[in-house]
Amino acid sequence: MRYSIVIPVFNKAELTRACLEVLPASIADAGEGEVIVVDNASTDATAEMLRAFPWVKVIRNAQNLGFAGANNQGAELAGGDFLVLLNNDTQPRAGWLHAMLAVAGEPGVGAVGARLLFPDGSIQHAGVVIGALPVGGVTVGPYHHGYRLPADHPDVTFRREYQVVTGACLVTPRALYRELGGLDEGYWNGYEDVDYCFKVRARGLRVVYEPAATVVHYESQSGTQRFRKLWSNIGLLDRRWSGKVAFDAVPRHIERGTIRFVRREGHGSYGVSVAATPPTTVIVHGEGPGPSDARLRAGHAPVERVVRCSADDALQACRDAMAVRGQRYLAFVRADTALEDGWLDELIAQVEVIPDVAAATFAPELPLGPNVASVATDARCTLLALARIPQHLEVASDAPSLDVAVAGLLRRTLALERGTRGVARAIATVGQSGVDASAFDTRIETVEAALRARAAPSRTLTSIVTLSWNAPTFTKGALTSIRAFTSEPYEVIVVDNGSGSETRAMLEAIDDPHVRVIYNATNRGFAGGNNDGIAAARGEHVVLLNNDVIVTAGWLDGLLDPFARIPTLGVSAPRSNKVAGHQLVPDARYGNEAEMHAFAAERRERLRRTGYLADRAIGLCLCVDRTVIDQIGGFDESFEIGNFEDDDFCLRVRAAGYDIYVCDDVFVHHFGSQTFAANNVDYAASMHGNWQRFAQKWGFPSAYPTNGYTPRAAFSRGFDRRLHYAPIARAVAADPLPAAAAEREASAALTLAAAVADEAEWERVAAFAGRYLRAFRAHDPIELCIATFGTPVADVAARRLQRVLRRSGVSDAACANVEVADEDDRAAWEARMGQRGAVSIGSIDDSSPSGLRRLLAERRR
Amino acid sequence: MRQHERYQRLAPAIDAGHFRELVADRHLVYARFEPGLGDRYEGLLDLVFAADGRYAIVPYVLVQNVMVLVRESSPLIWPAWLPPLRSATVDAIEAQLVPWLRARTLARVDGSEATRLFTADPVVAGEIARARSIGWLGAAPCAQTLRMLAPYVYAERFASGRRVAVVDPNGAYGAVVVARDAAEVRAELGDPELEALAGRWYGSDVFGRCDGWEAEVTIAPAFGTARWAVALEGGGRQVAVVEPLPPAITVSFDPADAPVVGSFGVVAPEPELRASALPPVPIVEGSQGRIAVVLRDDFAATPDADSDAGLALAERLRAQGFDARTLGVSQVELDGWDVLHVFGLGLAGPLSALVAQARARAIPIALTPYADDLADEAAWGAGIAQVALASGCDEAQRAYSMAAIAARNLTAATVPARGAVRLLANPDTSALLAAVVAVYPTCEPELRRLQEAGYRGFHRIVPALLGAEPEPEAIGPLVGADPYVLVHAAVEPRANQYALATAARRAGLPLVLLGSVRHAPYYAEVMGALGRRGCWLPEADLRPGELAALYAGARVYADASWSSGGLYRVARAAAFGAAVVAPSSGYGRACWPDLVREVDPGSIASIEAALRAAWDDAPNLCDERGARAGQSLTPLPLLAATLAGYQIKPGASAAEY
Repeated sequence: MRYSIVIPVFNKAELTRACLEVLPASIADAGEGEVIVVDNASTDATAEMLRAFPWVKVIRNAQNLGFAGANNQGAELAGGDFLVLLNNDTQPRAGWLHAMLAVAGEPGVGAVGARLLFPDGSIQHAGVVIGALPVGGVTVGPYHHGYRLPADHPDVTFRREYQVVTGACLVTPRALYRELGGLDEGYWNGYEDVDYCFKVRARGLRVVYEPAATVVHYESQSGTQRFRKLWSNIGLLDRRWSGKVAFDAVPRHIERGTIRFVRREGHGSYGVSVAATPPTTVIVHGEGPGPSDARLRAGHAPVERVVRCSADDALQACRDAMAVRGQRYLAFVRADTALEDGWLDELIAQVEVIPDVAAATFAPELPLGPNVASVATDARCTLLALARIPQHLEVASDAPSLDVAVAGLLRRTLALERGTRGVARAIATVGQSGVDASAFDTRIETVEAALRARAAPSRTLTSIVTLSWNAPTFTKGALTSIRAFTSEPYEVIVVDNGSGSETRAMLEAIDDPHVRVIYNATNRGFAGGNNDGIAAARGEHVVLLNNDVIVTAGWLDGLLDPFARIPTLGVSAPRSNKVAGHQLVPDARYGNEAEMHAFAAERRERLRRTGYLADRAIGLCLCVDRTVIDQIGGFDESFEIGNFEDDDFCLRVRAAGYDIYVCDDVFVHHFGSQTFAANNVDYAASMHGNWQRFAQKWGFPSAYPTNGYTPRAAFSRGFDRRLHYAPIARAVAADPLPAAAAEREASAALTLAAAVADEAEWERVAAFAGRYLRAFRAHDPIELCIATFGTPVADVAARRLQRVLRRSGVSDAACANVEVADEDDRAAWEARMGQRGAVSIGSIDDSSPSGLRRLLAERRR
Repeated sequence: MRQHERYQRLAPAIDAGHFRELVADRHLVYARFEPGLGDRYEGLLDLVFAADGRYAIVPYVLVQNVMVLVRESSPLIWPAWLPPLRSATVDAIEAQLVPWLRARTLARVDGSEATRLFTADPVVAGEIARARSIGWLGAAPCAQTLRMLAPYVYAERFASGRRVAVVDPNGAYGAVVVARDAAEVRAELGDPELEALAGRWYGSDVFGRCDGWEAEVTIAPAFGTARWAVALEGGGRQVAVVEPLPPAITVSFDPADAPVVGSFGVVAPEPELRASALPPVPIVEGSQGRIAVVLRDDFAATPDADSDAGLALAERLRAQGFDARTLGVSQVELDGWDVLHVFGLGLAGPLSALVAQARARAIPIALTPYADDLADEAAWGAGIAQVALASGCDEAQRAYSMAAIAARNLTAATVPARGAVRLLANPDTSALLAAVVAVYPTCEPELRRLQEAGYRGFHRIVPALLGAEPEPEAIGPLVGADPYVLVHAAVEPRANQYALATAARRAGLPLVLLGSVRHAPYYAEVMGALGRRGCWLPEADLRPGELAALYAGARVYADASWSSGGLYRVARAAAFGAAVVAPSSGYGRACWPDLVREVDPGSIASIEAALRAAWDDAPNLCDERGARAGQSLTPLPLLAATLAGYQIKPGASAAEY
């Protein structure tokens, strides 16, 4: 006898009947076999119903033995070579068993699973991947691959191996089943199949998913099975197998689903979805041939490209590979590393355990195990998840080696709470490390200390940029509300885009020390106007704000707050009464401004510090971190007048690896399209035109998407500076200083001194220099003197500063004074600086641009 | 500050001044994280604050673990029953804790309990270690503390407003829990030094000797003279304690939840019971006939109002000499029956093949329709409530969702829209109505609804044909002597027990929930929503006499279901003179307009108001209420009306569809 089908049942007689009615025809081509139904003490009509199927062998239990017990009972009675476990709530389709038996008969196969469909035709089971459960809790978690995909999706229609297939329809050799002890009855109606498949795999046998076997699964529950067993099942699985099974190299995303309120806003539940494995570029660096291509590709994960280079060229190869990141992996393998099969799968699996992992590594300095995190690592056998490393983090181009550069990079990513994990098994043999041993510190206290060190930044200057194009009443209203409801420190930059005389008169009459006005002779549009404002902005954050708005109490504090909580945040945005998409507050109803403020205040209290991550936000109000502007530039001025420049900006933010957060607790009232209305602009035409430009840039279909577009596919390709950087092209915008102040003072009122002896010191000085250059211009009586005592040398340092300057949009002529010089004698230099009354940058408490300006102001007094 | 309203039954008494003085980031000395499993993967965090030898415990802070990663808001959800804390204080405490939680997540340490000391003070560290070793709240794992707490949770309702004596070395946490509502508590731990530490640990002055102190309630190794007593070493009515499974199941006395890990005994005075106003039914000899009472397949495993009605009918028929059996719908065959009496239009689908055959063979089918769900929103309401609970972790989210449900303003992709599922509009229902020879609506409005759906045949109004009440048995140890609100239905979103539990908790009313569990995750939500005066009784453990006594002792009977599956239980309670609350989705008020308070099942506020009003009004005229209900429920005429329908020949009804 070839097979024995075992069907455990507990009530649901109807479902069992339906299954048995279709079964004979579906197995007609499977050869000789038998069907055994194990009745787990059903209390309904099951017993009577089964009498209608005299060809079924029935075992009747006086009490419910559970799924495992019933299957084991059936297996005892079975006489077939292959055991077929089948749920009663299934309806197999023709040929299913023939297909599964064909695979089960192959050498080395221990279990075969089928393609299970929901009644609506979508995938219920197409193999089970093993990952970690989202957080907290236990480590070994099974996920259904391809859940709810269409039945004919390419990802689920090919035979493949998994660690686990579902026991709802599973074929296994009967002798093997008995040898392995069958299903473990310590589980109760859950995870017995996972455990069984792990046992099969531990035997060195394969578990195979065969999509040609199709079964409709109604996924019902028998009777009132309480959740209580879930805990013991998962706990048992974890205790038994944690550390003994690897995670599958399939990334899981925590995705925010929503329930939708018809006329009110909703909130989300969090589910986990499984996506395709991104491709990996492998850099084999160092002397010698290194592992062969075949060895590099020995596993499941796709290797897109292999770059082989010498140690001298490794850094550049790395920088080149990291130029465009997106959903890609970058692996480093030193030439003297001998790799095991599946090395890349293991690294990817560790990276995908949780979204906060930036890198996975194998290093003999790190213990093996499922739960190892280290401060950093090197480039002997390491994988970077490029999407999790924001664009501004780069390897230092003049690091002595790729190992040192990677270690430095990962220390910096840890500061952004993205860490490095070790692997669970040995995947390579590597040579000696070339980095500081502290990079391999795995103590959780060290990791925690690194996270605590990222203290909440003190409040720095925020620049609020708002455009004006006629419509003076609204601009005035916006400015009034900003003055009333914005906490210090802030500045306001109004960019007037060629308004008429009424608006200019209103702007010229503004008596507010926070406000500066830039007058453009013509309308430079949303993109150009905002870029002018950004160029003139001095703040660490730049808020781009429509002029047809009223801000509310606490608005800016609310927009800035998430930057302290979310290390990779690039943009925050508010909710509003009139805005497209998810930021809309549909029940924002108020009769007048006072009621609006009350509405906003109630939201601010009730929804304090809540919000959500999004892939885009409307340009009505965007609070942008200066770091992001440095990386991606401003707005793309090829968009005309208005619309989709903000979409483009947000895509570039996301592509560069930064997050966008919408603050539920910040409400900004928006009058809506007033600028266009006031200027008789055809809003629809503007929108359609800009969509064409946007679609062409990002690869969307040219037809205007009435139902919206999905940004993820576009930004997942990464930020390509050549294509996506939007220079803030104009020279420094007019800064209307009094004529007397435009004269440069004969000598600097304040000299700042910085000494650099190594790369680590350079990083601190470079960061300070960036803030210094943002804070001051050529006319400011201040200078920064940088002395280099080792590496980098002065020339290199100066070139680096040039890059910082270019990114800030400040011209050489306009930038504040910086002097970089190689020095030999530190004591002598310090003495000279002392004579000049220089202040060491290390002694400055608040080195933010506003802090530095205060320091200069104090010195000048 | 995110907040939750769960675990009120586990909340210790807290001195607000002491609490505000000690709970600050600079006083945080210890944190204990415990992972949990469930739909939302929440963990539990206990915090200990200390200064000058005094402690303050903040237990049961939920950790929404996904927020440690996603960071859309704070991952910490604080118990709403704590004294108010300033936002700045909470922010500062969270700033201490979140890096620790994040570091653990990054390192993916294994899924076991984790503790963190935030102090270098050896005295404090030593006392924390001691508290942990003896299973005290805040320091020890939940499984340990909750196991020891169980008898006290059970006693909470009895202890409300009374003097309570505790003699139990493991009773420190329990003593401060009952102290929340007790008039006075004295707790003897058997060791003066331990009692002193307990006083500082829990910030309470209840610890000390109980000798010579007259208590109304005792929790001690054995029963004493108090009328209400829990005996930790057994005796009286035995109550099982099951293994805690936090955060979903904390203290439970239902062996179906988890393995039993202990037990205790209970004695308590009996509540005052009323008699049912139902008169007895005389036996009329000479009846014969084979009647199949057709119910849903799982009627035995999950009894509900419809199965009660079917079983009662079968019992009444058998008493009169008929051969009447109750069958699940898939068990029914036409051979051997003179009449099929189907309970519920919901069985139309499974019966469709049989209906056609019965019609062809002229076998009469009678129907008790249960055509409630007047707004065609039951599928939506039940579904959306569960989605809202599953997706809302904090009270703000839940309150917003519940308000949206009340306004019928909420949709979800996995839930049918309001009006999409209409019981009377599907072909199977039409076919069944066309085939039946007699229907028994509960009232004229239900009849009209059936007629609008095309029914033109024989009918008799049968609000509910109640079975004979067994002799009531003792229930004091189950519910105590104080009055209560009774809810009796299978636990599932359709029956809306979460709304009832929440409403009763907010109204401060003692609630007795009774039923079988049909939806386990929903059951966990209901258990979490129970207030200190709420309890859950597993129906399977009760004898018929105990069940009768529970009805007889109920001051208020509440049904707030989205669709009720019949008025049997409402009627039963009304016959006992209980004040009745019934949903607008059904016909309770139509049947007994001056006896039933109607509620909107979507509105917790509506349910709360109705419960309060019914509670206040209940003592008035309860005998008269029972009598009036009894009049409409007199079994004999209802039985006769039912039998009249059985005699209608198929085809004589001339129903046109």
